[in-house]
Amino acid sequence: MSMNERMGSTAYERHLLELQTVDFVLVELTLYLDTHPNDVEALTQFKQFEKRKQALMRTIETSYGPLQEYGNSPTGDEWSWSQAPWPWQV
Amino acid sequence: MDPQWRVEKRYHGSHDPCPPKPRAYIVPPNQYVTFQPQGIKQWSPREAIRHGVLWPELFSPYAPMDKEVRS
Amino acid sequence: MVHIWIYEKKLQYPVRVSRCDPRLAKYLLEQYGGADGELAAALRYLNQRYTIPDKVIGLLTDIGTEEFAHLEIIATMVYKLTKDATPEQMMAAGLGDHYANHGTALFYQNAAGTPWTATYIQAKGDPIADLYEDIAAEEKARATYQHLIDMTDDVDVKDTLTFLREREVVHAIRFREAVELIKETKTQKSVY
Repeated sequence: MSMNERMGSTAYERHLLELQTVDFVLVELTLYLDTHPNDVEALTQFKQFEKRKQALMRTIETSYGPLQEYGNSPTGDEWSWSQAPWPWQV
Repeated sequence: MDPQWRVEKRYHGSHDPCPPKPRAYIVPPNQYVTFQPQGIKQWSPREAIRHGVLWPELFSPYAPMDKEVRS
Repeated sequence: MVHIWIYEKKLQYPVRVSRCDPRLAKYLLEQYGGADGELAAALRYLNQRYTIPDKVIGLLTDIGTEEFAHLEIIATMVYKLTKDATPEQMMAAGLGDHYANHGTALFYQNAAGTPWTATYIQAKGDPIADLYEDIAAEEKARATYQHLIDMTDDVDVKDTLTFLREREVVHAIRFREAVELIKETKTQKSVY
């Protein structure tokens, strides 16, 4: 079974996997840039993925509520941050 | 067997009751990368998260040695 | 921007487990509250930052932060492997001692039940000593993940453990690069 089939049985899980995939590239490039701050190509790639992450976050947050708090994600009309599922419950 | 494995025979004493098994350990590619060069080949994002690394050169596959040595 | 760690309501890697298996959960605790586990890693790196040369503070911050993401992945596996387990199942899995004290709650201890201690980690204020400790920590964590992979036939758990193992390989490369960056500073100075 492919990772997509195994991990994405619901629409929410498929969206999460998409975000996890983009975020993984950002994590890798972050650590890489920490030791290669002058790699212009890597910096350009980082910025591209940053945009993809922002777009994906907005899509997910519109349907499922905020991914971050402390004012980093749109709150919406009601306080849905504290609602399940939490990451270990998914 | 993946080339990252090193296998050596161990001295087997006549009073060692367990069936003899080679000593095996893995040497990951991080031992050969002093400083990662710029612009090396990348996996696609999907392949990257599946492997746990963005760059194929830094990938270390792991399958339990026991089964491989015995087969 | 607030100066605070930002919690994101998602795991770094999707976690699935194939079945209720408290015994496997017990073994996974080695990477939760063990000497070379994710808690030790996160606290070791974040604490070393205050005396490490400026050019590698960012790396220690980012790897330390990623270790917290790994801690939650381990916690998620332990949670799913023990959720709804009966006291009988916990006892049969060798978690009777654990159940007596903690029920099915998680606790920062290793597979043998020894609670986490700061004596697992070190900070010397010497960049070479600290970075070599970090490199060793990553290789020890990699070896631990290999042992855990050897011990399970749960393909879902194996998949997640394989991801985490590879992260140790990558972190070790970055720490080795950090050593090179620190060595270079000296070379540049000696030019003048």
